[in-house]
Amino acid sequence: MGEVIVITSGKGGVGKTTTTANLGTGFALLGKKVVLVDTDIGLRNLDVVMGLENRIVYDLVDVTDGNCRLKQALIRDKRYETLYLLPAAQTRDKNAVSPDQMKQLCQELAEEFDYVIIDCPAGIEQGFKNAIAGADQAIIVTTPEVSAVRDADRIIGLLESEGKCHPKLVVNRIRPLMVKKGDMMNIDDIIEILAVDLLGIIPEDEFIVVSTNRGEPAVTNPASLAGMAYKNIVRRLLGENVPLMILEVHEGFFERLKKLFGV
Amino acid sequence: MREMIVFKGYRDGLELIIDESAEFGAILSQLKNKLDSATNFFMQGAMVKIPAVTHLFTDSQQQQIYRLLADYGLTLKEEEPEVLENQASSQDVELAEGAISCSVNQENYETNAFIVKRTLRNGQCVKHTGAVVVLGDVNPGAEVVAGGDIMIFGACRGVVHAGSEGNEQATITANRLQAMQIRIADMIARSPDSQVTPRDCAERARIADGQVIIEPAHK
Repeated sequence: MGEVIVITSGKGGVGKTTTTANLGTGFALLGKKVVLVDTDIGLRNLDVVMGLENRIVYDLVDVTDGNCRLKQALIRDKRYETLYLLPAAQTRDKNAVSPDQMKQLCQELAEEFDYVIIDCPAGIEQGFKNAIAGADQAIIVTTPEVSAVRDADRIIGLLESEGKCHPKLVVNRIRPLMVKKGDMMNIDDIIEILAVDLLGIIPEDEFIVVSTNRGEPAVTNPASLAGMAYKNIVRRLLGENVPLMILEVHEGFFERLKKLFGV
Repeated sequence: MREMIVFKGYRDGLELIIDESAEFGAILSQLKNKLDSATNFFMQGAMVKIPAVTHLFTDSQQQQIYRLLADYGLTLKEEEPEVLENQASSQDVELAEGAISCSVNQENYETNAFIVKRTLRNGQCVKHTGAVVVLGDVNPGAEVVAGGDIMIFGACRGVVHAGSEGNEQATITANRLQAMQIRIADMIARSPDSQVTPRDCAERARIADGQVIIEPAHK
């Protein structure tokens, strides 16, 4: 029986879909059998980020409506044999599926796969309720911004009231230089508020933009810092003890000049 | 006797206006009377359009009306479908599930075209039993499903399905054919994963030798 993990945040734009794509690909790199489920019905993106958009014939709602078998709707990744995607419907809305249907779907998938990773939509309404219904554990994604942390806290509360305790935290888009200057929340501040286990930190990385546009997750690129950080998270989820990445602060030329002149 | 049904002339034939509050049995008998009393008035083969109130009737009731009209040699003109939209859109009318589908002359599907006079955006979907003409683009994430041909006066970047009821002769033509997926009858072709520079002319997709081919439209 595989494990069902939901990736959620509350706030939009913090990197849920990027995290889903990279963790899933990371598991597949290590030979695990993984399926990614996009529950963002009406605003699907995971297929675009994975570069599989042109392969969609059936989607999640077709499965729950009984228009096709589950196997027919699963799309195999271009690069990795053990990685599959179940895309969301685009011409429907969040009410097209129910939490009970999602539970059943997750159970079916968990029989077949080692990991079922669910990409949750932003918000706390029907889409969120559907996404968390069948999950065994949750990963909360946040950025070092007060508003994102606030929403993450709300989500943790909602998960606990649903009986899904001990979610793990991923802090995304950290800029070490800003943290050093005191312009950005640091990890300790965030952990102090949320009081959950830290699963990993992801540095801000321009390559993410490139990889998202190309449909090639960053974990496949050894040169990407964010990709490395996601790889570490995958290893931690598999039970390895991997220390947190030391994020070097590269001072720019002007910063050094300013220091020199004491400005 | 209260007038529950009225025949109105319009450009292509007759329009049947039905009083929504009337009871079905009464409507049917009055329709029969009217047709009887004016046999010479109704030309054989005239087109009759029935407005959307027919969704108030059950399928079998609709069938009764169609049969009665057919008995008097009148052909039913198919309703124009609406663009299917998500609930979120306010500017478009939602087509009720199970909207009426009338029997159209299958060989004559080209004459029964649905024209979309705007760009179809992500998440929007047009389904029609005949041909579909789009005066605008079809964006990625939008879908056009047509029983007949599809013609797009703009760029096609979404999913297009021509001959959805099995017509393998159906074609898809677009000013810029860069579709995510092209489906004709029960065949599916997907866009290549690598970037391909499209021809700078209108292109047509059709089935030839058991596969979907794309060629310049003026061929």
